[in-house]
Amino acid sequence: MKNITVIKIENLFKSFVNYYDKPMMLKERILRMKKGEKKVVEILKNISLEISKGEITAIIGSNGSGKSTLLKILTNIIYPTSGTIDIQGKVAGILELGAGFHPDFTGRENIYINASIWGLSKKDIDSILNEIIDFSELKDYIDAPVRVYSSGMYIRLAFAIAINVKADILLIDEVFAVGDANFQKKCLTKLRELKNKGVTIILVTHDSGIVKEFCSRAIWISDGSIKLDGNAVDVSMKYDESVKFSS
Amino acid sequence: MKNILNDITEIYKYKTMLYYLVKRNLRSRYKGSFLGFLWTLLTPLLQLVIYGFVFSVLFPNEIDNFSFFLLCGLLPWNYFISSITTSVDSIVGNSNLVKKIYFPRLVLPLSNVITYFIDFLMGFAILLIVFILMGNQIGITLIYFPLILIIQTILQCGLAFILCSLYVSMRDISYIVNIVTMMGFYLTPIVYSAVSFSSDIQLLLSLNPLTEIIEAYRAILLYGEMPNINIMYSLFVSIILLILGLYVFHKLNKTFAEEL
Repeated sequence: MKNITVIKIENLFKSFVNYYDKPMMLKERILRMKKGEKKVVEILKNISLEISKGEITAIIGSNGSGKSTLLKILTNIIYPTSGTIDIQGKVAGILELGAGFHPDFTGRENIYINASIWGLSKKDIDSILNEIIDFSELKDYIDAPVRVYSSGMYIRLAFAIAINVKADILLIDEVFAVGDANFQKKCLTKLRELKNKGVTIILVTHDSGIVKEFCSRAIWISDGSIKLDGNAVDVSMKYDESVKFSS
Repeated sequence: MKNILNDITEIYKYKTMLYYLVKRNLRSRYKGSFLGFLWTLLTPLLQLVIYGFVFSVLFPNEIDNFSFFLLCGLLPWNYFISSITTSVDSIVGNSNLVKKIYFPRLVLPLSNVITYFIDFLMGFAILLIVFILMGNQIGITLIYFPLILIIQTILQCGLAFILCSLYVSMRDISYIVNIVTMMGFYLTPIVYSAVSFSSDIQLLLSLNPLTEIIEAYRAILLYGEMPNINIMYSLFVSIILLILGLYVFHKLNKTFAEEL
């Protein structure tokens, strides 16, 4: 059983500065025209964890607990205030679907544009193009401008691209919340495929069904810290209980 | 320093993204407009008509071949202004990407500079063809063109990187840029020749890095001369700005997603 650590986080802290009335213009700063009061908000407090290769981990917690921030830090979109992060392997963070889609371009063209934002070369994209088109089930619509797509078609295409980006570590932020049941089933099947290929997957989700069925481990983040980290079924049950009793 | 080199090598990894960004810029610029791509050629021609009228009929000058004299200044100026003004908004205007996907942010302003680089090349090629067709001679000095172009491009990249990263947290940068470029047009010898003024004025003009660049384009095309050695000043300023630009961008880069 391979226990190579692919993600190691030590003492991660992340604070944001929230401005009340932020000075956005040079003159406001110089003349101190706006109050510029700020409040430092700690979003992540002393997070330490290790994730092994091939592990399927769920990150659960209420809204505002810091889950998305953690994911953004792991994807290098946001940087820690302090602490260290060590990642081995290529990371792809699916935090939103369809970024970079241009409505006037066709689905096919948008595949190239979007995939290139993931860092793929034209050759790479050519090799996975058919897989993406098949997964999206768009058939002839692939050559129509994205402007005419329904939201379902849009999501299918966007996810088809994101899921086919070859990455060692996949971080997915609640994208299952969109799309119908059929689509969700399809996504999970694809994720299972990737799981079998040894891809490390981290899912931020509110769906306890997916947590219990698909993930081996769950990390419960509450108010910026790790409240519980262990077996997916156990942690998920405890989380569900706490939600039931809180409101 | 090492981190900045990393930024640059990463751009190479994302060269396909750069390609599609430029392609998207070129395509969507005139999509839906009646004249479409012809506007790229029409704009300098229209400018030529207006400035030509004002600065040779209303205010006569003693410059030979004034039309080409003007175009040699207008085309590089348009390259400058378009690159800079579109780059200012390159991070903020793409906030949806910056907040959600990782990629080297430098490709955003860079794609704008490259878009107008291509624009300028095409414009200049046409200028050259028309120049020859009208019976003018061109000389071997044209081989200096890539050198001048590179100096100008370095200058613009440096400015673009600084401005787009500052714009994220200081929105009046765009107003400042607009005003400075309006003034800059007249502080660069585009519609006039520097030599027609006193040496004090010429000194003032020579502080502008674009001055020698534009004089150089004219020298190699119109007069069959090598660029003036003073272009080294422009090169020097450009390199300083590039280094400063890469540094400022690198420092502010980490906070983009949070600020937007």
